[in-house]
Formats: sequence, structure tokens, C-alpha cells
Amino acid sequence: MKKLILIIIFAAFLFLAGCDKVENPQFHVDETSCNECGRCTQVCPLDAIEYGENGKAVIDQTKCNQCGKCITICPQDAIY
Amino acid sequence: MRKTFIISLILAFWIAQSAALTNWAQFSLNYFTTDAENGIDIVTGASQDADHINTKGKFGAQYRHEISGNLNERISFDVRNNAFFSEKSHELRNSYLYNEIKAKLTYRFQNTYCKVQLNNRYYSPDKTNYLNLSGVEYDTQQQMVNNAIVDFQQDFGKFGFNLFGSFRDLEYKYAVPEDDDDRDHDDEDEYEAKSAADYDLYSLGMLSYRFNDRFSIFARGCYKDDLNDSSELNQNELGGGMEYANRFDFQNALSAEISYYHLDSKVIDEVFTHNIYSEIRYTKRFYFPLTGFISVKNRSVFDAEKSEFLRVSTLLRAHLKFSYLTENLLDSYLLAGGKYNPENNGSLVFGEFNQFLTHNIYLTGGAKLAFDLYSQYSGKLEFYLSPLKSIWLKTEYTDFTKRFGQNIISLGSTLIF
Repeated sequence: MKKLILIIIFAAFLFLAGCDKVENPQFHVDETSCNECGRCTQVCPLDAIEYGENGKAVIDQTKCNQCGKCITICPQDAIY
Repeated sequence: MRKTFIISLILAFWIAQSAALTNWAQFSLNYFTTDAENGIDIVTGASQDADHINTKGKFGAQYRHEISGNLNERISFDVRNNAFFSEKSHELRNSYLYNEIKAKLTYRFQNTYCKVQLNNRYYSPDKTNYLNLSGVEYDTQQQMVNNAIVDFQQDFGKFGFNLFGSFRDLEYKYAVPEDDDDRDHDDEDEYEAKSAADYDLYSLGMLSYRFNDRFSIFARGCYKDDLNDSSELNQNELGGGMEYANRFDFQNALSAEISYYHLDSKVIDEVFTHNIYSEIRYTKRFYFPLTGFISVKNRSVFDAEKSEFLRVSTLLRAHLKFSYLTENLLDSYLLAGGKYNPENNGSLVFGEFNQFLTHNIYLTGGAKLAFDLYSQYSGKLEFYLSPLKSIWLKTEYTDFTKRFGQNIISLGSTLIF
């Protein structure tokens, strides 16, 4: 059962990773890498980043315009 | 809202008086130089005001302090403050002056977890880069952000329940012409600054069921309420998925997740309505000095109009670390890794080393090459007076896609008491 679940997840991942990309990609935060330093919240020109339920940065997609400042500033390279 | 800031400070100090504390403090003096010139509309936060970007050096300082402790066996707290100042506009910050305080109180007992947190970010009132707030016609400058968070988690046997709420208040200023009639304004118009606030409420509810220690399923709903009149930025998310986590042995661990959520928003493109998130992370400890992990994440959408799946963002990250000279205060190590993120041009490779020199002196160096964005090189010399006290000298040079470079030299001290 466990192996089956893992195979399903892995297959789904491979399938999705092989698709075309959307016209305007979004930025998201890799929560396992984020160290809550807050640099991205300071540099965002749209005030689109705040802390989520586990203390890690979260990007509010309704405000973000994909300017890319946060991806450059993040010392953990946690934004993708 | 300054009251919130003062109340959180008083609360923090009251808590700090009542318990055994662990303090971590770091102070540094910084000197910045840049070869940036006029008119660079950059991706790094540089002001576009030529007066504020000059090639002369400028000084700055940063002070970080973290206090943590336990009031009793169930209640713990954590207070963090980060103050930053620079003489002139800094290419990697929005403001000359910045202070952030985060105060968190946590209750944990058996199957119950509760967290209350207050955050405050204060910016220099008149010297902050302009914001572009949705729905606000005029240029705005952020003054302060207040954020109150409540998080509650409860397990009932195999069921888990989570409620989260976050209220945000952005205080900002905007300039409007004093003579605000229908005619065209010119540079000679006098402007007056007005104050305003922008509010947001984020809430989340999640229910999970754990089949065993490794496998669980969950359903979750998120709602964002843009508390302003327009409600343009409201957002609804509803979905669910499954998680797997297994530590096979001391050397191998695997975790995976796949989830779907339906997004409903007026301002986000319709293509993002059906979202799929998948993640696999494998950690491998080869033998003691050599460790590493590989992690892949993918966010995709299903375009219902074209009946096809599309990638939103993919992340592949791999790290490998080799430790040696482990008998010293700190391990010496070599670290190398990379990140692959084709959709957002965020791919990079990096390398880092930490080398014990002599008498508790360490040399750290690193290079990071983000192909489409920047390259960064850093070096740090640190002397440990004791295991809990150190002084250091650091330099960091960043080349932003060969358009301009910035160097920061820092002299600092880190203290734990």
C-alpha cells in the first residue's frame, strides 16, 4: 500500500514536471528552506509577503506581480 | 497602531522578567559600496532616485536579539527583534531605517497546541521606497505593518484539527496634490501627505486523518478577506491531499505530499483555478561526515479551457556536505548544492567552506551563481572568544547580472547568554 502511494505521487510529479508552463508563473516559498529572516517582507514593493501558520513566509498571490525582488534577496534561496 | 507595538514590547519584557531566559544577540557595523548609476530599474529593491544611489560608501548598523524561554512545562515564549539602519538608500532594503519585532507565546500540552503571535515592522517614515498598492491611485510609502496571529491545533485520536487566523494592518502615507481638481497637475503643484491603512484577514481550517505514523490525508480551506471596501483581493481556497513521511533508518528518510486545491479569486488569472501541488524529499546520510538531501516540488494547474496541465513552478534542490576536523569547537566542512527553478529563472549553484585555522579562528567562504539574476561571493573570518562569544569580519560582493555591483563589509559580534 505504502509503495503504491509513493509510486502514485512520484508518477504524478513526473507527469506534472513534464508539462508546459503557464504564461505568467507564480512565486512560492519553499517552507523547508525558509528561515523566517524576513528579508523578503522588507523588500517586497507590493506588501505581498507575510508570515503564515508555521512562521514561514507566504506570498499573497492576489498582490504579487512577480517582480522577482524576493527571489534575489532570499539568503536561503527559498523562493521558487 | 503604535499602541500595539508598545503593548507587544511591554508584554515581551513582562514575560522576559518571569522566566529563565536564553539570549542570542548579534551586532554589526556595515559599510556599503556600490557602482550603481542613475536610472537602473532593478530587481533588487534599489531606489530609482539618483540622489539616493551614489557610488560613495555609506555606513550602516544592524542589531538582532532573540530571547526564548519557558514560563512552565507547557508555556514557552520567543521574542525576536531585528533593527537595521543605513546612512543612505540600500539596494537590498526598502527603507533606511527598519525595525521588526516578533513576540510569540506557545502552549503545548499532550494533544493541544496553541500559539499567539504579534509582529510589528516599523519603517523610516519618509525615506522608504514607494509601494504599489492595488486599488490605491497614488504612490504610497509604508510606515508600519502590524500582524496578529492565532494558531490552534488539537488531535482527537487519529483526527487532527487546525484553526489559524492572521490579521494584518499596513499603515502607509500617500501624497496628493493640495489643489486636487480636474485639471492636469504639474511639478509645481504642492502635495500634502495623507495617512491611510490597508487591512487583510487570513484564516485557515484544516482537518486531517492519520492512518498510521507515516501516512495521513487532509482537507483544508483558506479564506482571505480584503477588509477594504472594494473586496477585490478576496480569495478562497478549498482542497485536500495526502502526506507520507518515513524515516527508514538513521541514514535514510523520505517524505512526500500531493494535494489539490480549488482557487477562487477576482484578480488571479482563471488558469490558476485548479491547482496541484506535489513534493518528494529524500534525505541521505551516506556515512558520518557526508550528508545530503534531494528535494523536488512542483506546482501545476489544470487549464479547464484547454484541458491540459501546466507547470506553475518547479523546484529541484540538492545539497551535499562533507565535514572534517570535527574535534574542534565547530566542524570544518565543504558544502555544495544547487537549485533548479526553470519557470522563474531562479536556478543557481553554490559552494561554501568553513575551515578551522588556529586557536578558535575560522574562515568561511562561499560563492553563489544565479545564472539569470546575480552572482555573489562572500568571505568571513570569525574568532571565538568562548563557545558562546565571537567576533567576526565579513565581506559580501554581489554582481547583479553585470549591471551593477554592491559590496558590504561588516564587523560584528555574536553573543549567547
